[in-house]
Amino acid sequence: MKIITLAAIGVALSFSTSASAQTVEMIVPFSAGGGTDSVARVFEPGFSEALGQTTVIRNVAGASGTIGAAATADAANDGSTIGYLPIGPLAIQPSLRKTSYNADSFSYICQTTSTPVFLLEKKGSEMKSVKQWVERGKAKRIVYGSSGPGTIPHLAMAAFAATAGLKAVHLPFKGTGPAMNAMAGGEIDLFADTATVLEGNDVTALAVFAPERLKTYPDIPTMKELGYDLDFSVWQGLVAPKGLPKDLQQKYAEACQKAIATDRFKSLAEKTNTGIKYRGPDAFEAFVAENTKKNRKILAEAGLVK
Amino acid sequence: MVDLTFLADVWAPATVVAMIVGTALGIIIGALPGLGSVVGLSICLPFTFGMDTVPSLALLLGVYCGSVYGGSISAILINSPGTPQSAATVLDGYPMALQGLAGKALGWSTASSVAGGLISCIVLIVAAPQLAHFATRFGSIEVFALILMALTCIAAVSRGSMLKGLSMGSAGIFLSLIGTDPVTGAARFTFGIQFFTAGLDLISVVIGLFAVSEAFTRLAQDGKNESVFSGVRLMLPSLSEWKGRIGNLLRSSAIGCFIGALPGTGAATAAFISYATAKQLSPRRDNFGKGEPDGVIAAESSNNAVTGSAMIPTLALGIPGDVVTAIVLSAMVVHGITPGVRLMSEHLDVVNAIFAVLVIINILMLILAFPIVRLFGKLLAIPESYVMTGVIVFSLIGAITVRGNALDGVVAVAFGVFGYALRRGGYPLAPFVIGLVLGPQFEENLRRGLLLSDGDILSFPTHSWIALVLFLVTAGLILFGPLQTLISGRFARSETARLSREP
Repeated sequence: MKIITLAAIGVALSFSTSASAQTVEMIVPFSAGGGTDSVARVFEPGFSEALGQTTVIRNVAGASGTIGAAATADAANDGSTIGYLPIGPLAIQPSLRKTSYNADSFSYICQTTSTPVFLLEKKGSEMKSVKQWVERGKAKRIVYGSSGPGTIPHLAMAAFAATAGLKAVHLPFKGTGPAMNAMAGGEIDLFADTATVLEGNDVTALAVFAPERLKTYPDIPTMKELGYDLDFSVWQGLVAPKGLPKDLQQKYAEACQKAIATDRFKSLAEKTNTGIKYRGPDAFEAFVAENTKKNRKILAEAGLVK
Repeated sequence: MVDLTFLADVWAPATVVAMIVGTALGIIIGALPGLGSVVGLSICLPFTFGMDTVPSLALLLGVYCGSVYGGSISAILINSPGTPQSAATVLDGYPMALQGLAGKALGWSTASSVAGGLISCIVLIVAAPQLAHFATRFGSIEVFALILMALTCIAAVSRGSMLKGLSMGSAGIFLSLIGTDPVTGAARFTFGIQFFTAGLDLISVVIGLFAVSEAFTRLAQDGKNESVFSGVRLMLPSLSEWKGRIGNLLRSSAIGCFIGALPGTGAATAAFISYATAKQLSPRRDNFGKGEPDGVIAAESSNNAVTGSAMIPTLALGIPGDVVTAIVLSAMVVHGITPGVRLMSEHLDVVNAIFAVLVIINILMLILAFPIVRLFGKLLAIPESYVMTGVIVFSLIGAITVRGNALDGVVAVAFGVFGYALRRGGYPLAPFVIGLVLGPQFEENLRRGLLLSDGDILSFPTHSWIALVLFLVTAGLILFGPLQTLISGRFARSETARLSREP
């Protein structure tokens, strides 16, 4: 019984959410081990060190990250709680469904990453270019997949289909893995995702949804060059509940800038093909507002928002 | 001549330690309700950053395989599956424990887990590329047909009243609809409460239905019964006891191997499909749900068979089938190995090491199971009131751990009350869980199939040969029962008629 009691107390204590003045709690809105979490866990040591305070990551998963984002928005704005949020819960989900928060519910600290997505097709396909796909898509129906409704792969493809005037059907999957299986089996024709997905699967990149060609992929044309001015990337950043004191906001932003400049963070970014992108508090806030508006428009065109 | 240099990596002290620690940790984490494979892997992932490639993969695979097996320990001893994968093990494992056969039940689950795991290793080593390519032919419509077939197993596990079983299955499917629409992303059946937009967490519901309601049931009996747990020791089944059960073991392992190779399905689904198949085919089918070893064998061999075959799409195509394999893949990325279609040709040494490590881990599981089961047996060999208090505390902490949301504890208690009411009313719990597990996949694949066929569900059977075969088998399974009753009924009537004519 003693062991059970002790273990129970131990586990229960680790759940105590009360943060002491010395500890900053960093909410990650996805499960431990996921894409956002693995970046956050490499970001955290550098951030803690630069700040001179202990930062503890708490995973609050569920509902495409909106539960964790809501927990961040609802926390005390004294700097004891911050959130490491990606694009989905910050700039897409509030348009897609009723959330208790929106982009205005946060004080923005910094953007950390920005990773552009590629237009992908099955390797060995007889279609060799975006132009061929556009011709096919105007003549008959094409099918594109996504890792779920309202994800960046979905939005990028929906925007492409709308801009190019394609007859396209969207098949949402639970995550990238099952979607890649569907692509291997020929169920979907096109998919949009980051370089990690491009490298790990039997797929070819036809174009990149970025304003300029990437240094790492100089041969892959941009959508803009091909006549479609489309810019889509997966990004992450640090936010706090609205009303974070200005001095703390500045202090956190400086620590954030140092954290993403550490070798540890840079080497992870290189290994996972993640683009490092720093934006300060004001620039990040303006970027999120603008990005939210853009995504909302695409969702409305796709019929997902009234 | 096969290049055996990878064996040097496998027998390196770091790898051996990683395998032992990983497997032991996995079994313990799996046995604690709420802490499943994903949590265990996430805990270990940061440690692998400082380790070499093969030891870090050995640690992660040990945790993975160990946790899938470990879930059966709590499923059998406290009626609460430690992981969702062992939800089907509860159905016969716990009744066996109640009959005082806990050690035996654990023996069956251990032997079946190890056998299932080893069989899937062989399949992985021998047929990974072929099976991976066959699995890609399962599109949305084919998987829909497969899940539909699996749902007919609700009928098979409906003990007593078919009506009660079917209504529980439907209730499970309906509850699985709570949350986010898979196609539009809209929130539905949430009553405007944000918590529900994430859907009900399977493990919280299962913990409530089985473990919490069990505690309520004991409470209602006023503590008169003896503790069934005292001095539990693992007892492996003898060879003669395997007689007549090997077919079940091989069939269930094969089902696990195949389901595991399909991305996005998983061990819980495999366990229920095997359980239902065994329930249809076992000569001891009438004893299912009352503590039949065949039920434990079916569930445990197939969920552990998933561990090896889940690596098939991961290694052969670079497609992680679930969160678990995605974490293993991310560990490879950290070590500079690009997973994917070129993995087998570019890093054959790593792939071979993974094969060897998987085989060793499954054998280690057999050895480590003994001390760990004794440890749990000791923990539970205390007065029942303490055990039940501990079960409730642990279960609720487990439920809350999964997503870090305290409301999941409330869900577990609510389902504890619901489960208690169902038990009192003689409603079977198994169909409910099956509906809840298979519901989301049933819906997703149906919806995608309808998008592909422009809403024409009648075109599904002609979509491909695989789909046609699966739909025909499903129809056969549905008609088999009633036809059997009809025929045997006629036979009985004519028999009576014949007898009554004879003087």
